Amino acid sequence: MAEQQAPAKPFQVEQADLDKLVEFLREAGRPMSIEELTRQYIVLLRARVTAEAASTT
Amino acid sequence: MTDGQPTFHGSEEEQKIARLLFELLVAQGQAFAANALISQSLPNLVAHFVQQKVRPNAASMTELLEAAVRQNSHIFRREEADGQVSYLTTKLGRYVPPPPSVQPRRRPLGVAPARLPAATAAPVKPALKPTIIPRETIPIVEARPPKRIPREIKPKAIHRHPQIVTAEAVIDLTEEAAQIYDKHGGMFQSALRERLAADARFISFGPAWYLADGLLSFSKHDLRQVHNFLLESGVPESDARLVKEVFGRSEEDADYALLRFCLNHELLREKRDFEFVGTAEDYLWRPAGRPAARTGLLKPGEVGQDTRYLEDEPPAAALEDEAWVHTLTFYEIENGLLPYDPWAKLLLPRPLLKEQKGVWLEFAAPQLESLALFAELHYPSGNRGGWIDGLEELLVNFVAGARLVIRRGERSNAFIVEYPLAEQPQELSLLRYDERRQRFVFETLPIVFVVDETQILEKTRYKGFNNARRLEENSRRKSPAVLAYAFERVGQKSGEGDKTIYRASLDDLLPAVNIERPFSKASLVKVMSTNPLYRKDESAEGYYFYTLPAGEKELTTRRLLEVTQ
Repeated sequence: MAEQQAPAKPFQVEQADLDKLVEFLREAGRPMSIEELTRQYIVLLRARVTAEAASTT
Repeated sequence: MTDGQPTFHGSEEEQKIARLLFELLVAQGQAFAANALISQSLPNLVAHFVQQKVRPNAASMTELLEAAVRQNSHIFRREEADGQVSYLTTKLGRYVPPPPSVQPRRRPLGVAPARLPAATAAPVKPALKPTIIPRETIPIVEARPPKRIPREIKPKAIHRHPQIVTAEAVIDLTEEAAQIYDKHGGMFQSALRERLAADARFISFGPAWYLADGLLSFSKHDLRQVHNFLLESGVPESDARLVKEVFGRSEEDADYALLRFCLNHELLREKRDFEFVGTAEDYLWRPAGRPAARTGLLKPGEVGQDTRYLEDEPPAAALEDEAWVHTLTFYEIENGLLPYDPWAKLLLPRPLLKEQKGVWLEFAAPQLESLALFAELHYPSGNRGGWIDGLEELLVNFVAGARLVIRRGERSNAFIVEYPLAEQPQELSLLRYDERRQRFVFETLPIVFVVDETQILEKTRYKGFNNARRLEENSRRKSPAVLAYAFERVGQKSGEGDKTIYRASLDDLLPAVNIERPFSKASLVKVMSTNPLYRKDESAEGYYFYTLPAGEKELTTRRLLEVTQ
């Protein structure tokens, strides 16, 4: 039988991700470019959304 | 269907939102069978699209969605139950209602089905022969969680594919982060930058970000040391040099990058003492209020007003061979400046900071005994145009009509100026202003570089300027007066009834008006088309008339009268 799927997550930069970027910058101890931060943000976003998807399985 | 998508109807906006709605529903039902119904409630959709800024508010978004679904009823079905509206479709791109045998039960449980009155009961139809039903019209089973799911078709679990939906795309998060960045980095950067800027925990300088509570602090003594260093240097200095020379840090130090960032951030806050004149690649600082002194005839404010017309010029598409090719005017040479015109905007650095007024530049001219000089680009602001100041030493080597080729140098603020040489040197009698006699004169000069023949102020064409006095500053500030002055010098004088008129070509007028005030051809035509004293000569392309106002004398005569009185 076909699997069913919950609605896709509409995109927004969430507070939880910003909190993690604060931690990331604090640990790095140096300023970062928007490109570096965006790459890190995508890593955080992937981890969060994947975890949320897994928790509803 | 085209490209796996159905054909959308309605206005452009309705088609766009219908397409987005379809993609959203298909993404949501990615794991569904092709003909399974996918449903989403109107409030959820409205919230999503408003968040994506498709429309500013829920009411307007609802209206748009309803209109789009109405126009595309071949794709979507609108259902309303318990006061809540939902839209349904399938991945096939059309709504196919389930057959009566699997229609969801609408009747409240426990209520007996209504029977048709015996007198009006529909006649029983004869049994139909078995028919092969095309695959896409096979009755579909709604995939929404049914109220009662028969045990044998109950799904094992609801699987959720990690993905997100934006106004532009559905992004699959099972891909590697680097791949996601390559495909959608711009969108993520833009969204993240917006959030970081609105969050007081983050601060930025240029493209770099750090934490507000992680900033290093600077004492008044530290800042005074920086100020003194800049004063002594006499030219703008880079943040790297300040960190090294004033704070004694090198790139090997662990806090080097942080110190540079914090110093830049601090100097920008101290606007009364420091001014940023750098680029995205070279952060340069100088003491505030100490722009390079103008050695040209005009004050910076006057030049800004003169170059205001540049902000009305259409942008240039591209530089040819990555060079800005510019033909010099009399005004530019006399004032030691170049215009920040549409081509200059493509070549020269754009401001790094929102409030940045200018940028420090270095120009080198290898053909002029390796002449090198500092210049300053003044960015347009308010009702002033932009220009590059401080080029007297370079431009004094040229005449109006000379062609310069300007290219990028090795650093972001360094530029190389070259001039193509003429095949044969020539001697030309060219206009110059004799400061001692306070008059225009012609002087024979040897010219070795390429000149634009239409832009040179050569004696045979501009003899009307010989021995003429220049416009007074009050008149020079007014474009119509500058233009009238040029007409009187280069135009053909005649009478029209009791009026005096001058006729001149645009090509002759352009170099002439550019003696006192900068004009482009477009700005010149604009002045002539908006002032009743000027009109086009309909009998000859590119020619214009100037009518001397009744009762007024020519500017030349008035000037002479003023001088002699």
